[in-house]
Amino acid sequence: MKHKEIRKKLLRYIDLELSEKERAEIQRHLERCEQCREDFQLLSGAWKLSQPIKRAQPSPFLWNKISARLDEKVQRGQLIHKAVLFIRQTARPALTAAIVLLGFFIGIKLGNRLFMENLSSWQTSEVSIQSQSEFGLENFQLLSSGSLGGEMAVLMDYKK
Amino acid sequence: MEESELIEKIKRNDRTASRTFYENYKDMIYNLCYRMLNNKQDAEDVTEDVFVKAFRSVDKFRGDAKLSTWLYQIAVNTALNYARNKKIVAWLSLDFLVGKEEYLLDNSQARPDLELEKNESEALVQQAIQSLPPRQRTAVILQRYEGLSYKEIANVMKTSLSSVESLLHHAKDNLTEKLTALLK
Repeated sequence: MKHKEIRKKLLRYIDLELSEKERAEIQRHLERCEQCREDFQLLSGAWKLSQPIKRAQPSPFLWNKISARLDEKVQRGQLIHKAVLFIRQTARPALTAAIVLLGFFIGIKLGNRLFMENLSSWQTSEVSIQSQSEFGLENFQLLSSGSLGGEMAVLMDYKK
Repeated sequence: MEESELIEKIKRNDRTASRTFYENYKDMIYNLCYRMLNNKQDAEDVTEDVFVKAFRSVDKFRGDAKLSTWLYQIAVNTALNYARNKKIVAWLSLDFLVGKEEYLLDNSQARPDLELEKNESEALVQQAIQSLPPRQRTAVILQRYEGLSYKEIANVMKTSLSSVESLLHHAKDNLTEKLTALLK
């Protein structure tokens, strides 16, 4: 193994994670190379000293936060359940009734509208000029009712 | 109380059982998050999320793996996601230009020389560990600070034994280089 390669493997050498062969090779190199021996001592010291003895602890209030979040979820779940029940028990029949009423209302409106359209078409229908000429009606003059001519025309018409 | 009994009670929404579960594992999870994130407040936030996730998904725990392994899995994923998001936020807000994170042990308390030296070493080791890629960092923390075996690390990280070996191999080689540079 080359010097650079050996230097790279020093931590695995310290943690006993190398094969016997590799360990022996590094050991021989350390005896010869002062620079690597120095690095090894520095690394070994820092690595071993940094082993934590006591564990850190979270804040004593952390459980309260977690518990509150769990309650939040339970409450939300209950709200959703209540909403679903409301929809099933109350809102659904009410919605059905509303749809029926709406249909009824639309029906009435539509019926009224159709009736009004037909009525207006009957009122505005007039005999056209062309149809008047077809029947020769333009030759007649209207006699006002109450006049002598008018009364005569009524009587003659009645005799016919 | 047996673990399985505890889990059954938690599934039935027994808050006392949940509290017992939390007390049993809080230090383990908090320390893991602390190691992974190198910040007390972040570690506490992530620990909170880990337990909330665990309680909400306890129905999915079938008991195939150890309870601690299952919790480690949730913690590792949550912490990695948190770190990723924080990195994005920091990048967006240019926080990385301002300063570095705290180191694990705070030096505010008076302590003997050896303790101080120990803390300095710990700070340097932490700095080197934090500079590793996320998966290498996770593997090193699980092995060194949580004392997990290769097999357990593989279960937590949902990977193969050979991948764990490779991750630790590269992580230690990287650490050697970084730590040597920091110690000089």
